[in-house]
Amino acid sequence: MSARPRNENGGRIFPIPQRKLPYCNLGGGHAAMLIQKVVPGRDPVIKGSREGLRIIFPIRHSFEEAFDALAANLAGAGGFFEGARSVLEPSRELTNLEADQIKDLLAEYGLELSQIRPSAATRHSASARMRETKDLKEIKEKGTRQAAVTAVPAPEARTSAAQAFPQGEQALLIRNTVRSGQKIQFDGNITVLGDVNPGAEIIAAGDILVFGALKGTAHAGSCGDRQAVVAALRLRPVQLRIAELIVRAPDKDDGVNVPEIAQIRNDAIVVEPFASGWNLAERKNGRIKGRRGKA
Amino acid sequence: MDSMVLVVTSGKGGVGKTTTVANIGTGLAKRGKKVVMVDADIGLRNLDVVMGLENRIVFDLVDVVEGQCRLKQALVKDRRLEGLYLLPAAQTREKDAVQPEQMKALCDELRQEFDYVVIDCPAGIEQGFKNAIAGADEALIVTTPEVSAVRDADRIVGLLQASGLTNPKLIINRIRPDMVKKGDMIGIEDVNGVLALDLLGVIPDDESIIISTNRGEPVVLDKNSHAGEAYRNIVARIEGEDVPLMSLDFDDGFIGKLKKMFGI
Repeated sequence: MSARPRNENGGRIFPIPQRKLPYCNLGGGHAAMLIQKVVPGRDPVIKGSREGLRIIFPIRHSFEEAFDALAANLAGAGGFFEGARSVLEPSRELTNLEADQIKDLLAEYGLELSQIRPSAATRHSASARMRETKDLKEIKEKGTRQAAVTAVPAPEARTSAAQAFPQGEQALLIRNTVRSGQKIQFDGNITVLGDVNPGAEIIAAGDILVFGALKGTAHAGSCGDRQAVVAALRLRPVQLRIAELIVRAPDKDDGVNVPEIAQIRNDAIVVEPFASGWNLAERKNGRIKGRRGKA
Repeated sequence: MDSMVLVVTSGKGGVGKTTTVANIGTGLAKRGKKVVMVDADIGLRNLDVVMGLENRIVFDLVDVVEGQCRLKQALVKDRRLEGLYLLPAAQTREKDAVQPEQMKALCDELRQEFDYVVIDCPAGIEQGFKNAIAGADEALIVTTPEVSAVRDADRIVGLLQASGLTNPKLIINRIRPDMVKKGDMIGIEDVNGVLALDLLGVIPDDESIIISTNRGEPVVLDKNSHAGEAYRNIVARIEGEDVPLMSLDFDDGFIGKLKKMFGI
């Protein structure tokens, strides 16, 4: 990553941090990401909630494409979801035939479809799509940082396709250090303002953010959400789990003292320095490197 | 002045709770306070042995709680100091012989008579621990500079905070400054980096402790003992004095003694 990527018109494109786009298969460089359709909710996502599982089912081009993507997702999860009740949230109304197909697919994996709930965004999807194309055009013309920000919908828009930034998600906030022997379990995201000491456990259906040192055990995406992340100012967990994957820290403490984030990439948990605008320069200069935990 | 009920706990066994209770109790009594030490380790009592009072025990804590005797009859007067008493535990009973409410009532009764009530908590987190903390105002956590002890102490802090003892103080026991310097032992900052408590004192590892517990003479009375000096400082801090942490750089060799002779 030497010079900042430039778009076809020669305008500068400010790179968007990779982690903010969980739905896009990150193929080419940053420029490629922007010019491709950068829209969240491209792939089906399975999230845990109080009612059981929520299957967010965006239909972009065709039902078949979305169906295949959901089948691939379920196949990848193994038997992880067996016995769970699920609510399907498609981005548009489904026909009876389509609903039956989904029911059968889910039944194959031991999932019971209890409800189909088209997301509120179905109302907005058309206008949202228009807005997106307009913004992408703006980038190509102006290539300014402002346009880049508006064009990229926030990661929080997981809950439904194309809700406007900055819609957020609920998170449980713990304003203490979590001590050994304490267990925090929540069907959502968890943020700790303090340390998580060895012997403590944090279990979240969503993300886990520790504004301090994570030295205990963290399990994000505990209901099977592979998009969940674990981030900490100092990531030194006894054990780290995301969905069904487990890693432990490398035996030798390499003394990396920057905020780090762990997420699943290509079927493995990858730990890398947390990069957003403020420390991109250091990342670019290669002063910060990523590392992989042993599985 | 209001009475204070202190519980000395740790989680891990063998880190020095009983020794600390004996020395703090003795140290406070030496300063003229009226102190009672309560051994809450029912079934495995040690405080009487460490104080050298084991052959003066007639009644114990379980007898008091069951109404077999009056509280005054169970208190053992110390053989050296005025104003220092011991309420021993039962050796033939078990921890479930006492309930937390009974301990709280007992502590409230003791509060009327004494300036300080120092409770020796058993190791662990079960009934014995719950009994010991039931009547306490303040908690002192003793730990050694070892990973396992710190881990257990951390658990205890969580349990104490859940029970309303929100600001426990820390005593780090058996520290070896030469090993810390070499990096073979974790130091004060490492311990408190995990526990994050107010530090009440640091006690160096000292052979004189072994001698003192076997003889039943608390080391706080020994002028020449480093551990004794550390305990005297802790007692002063409990009394509200602002005493800086003593230097752990001991020079006890010949040259050291020579230096002391010339006041260097």
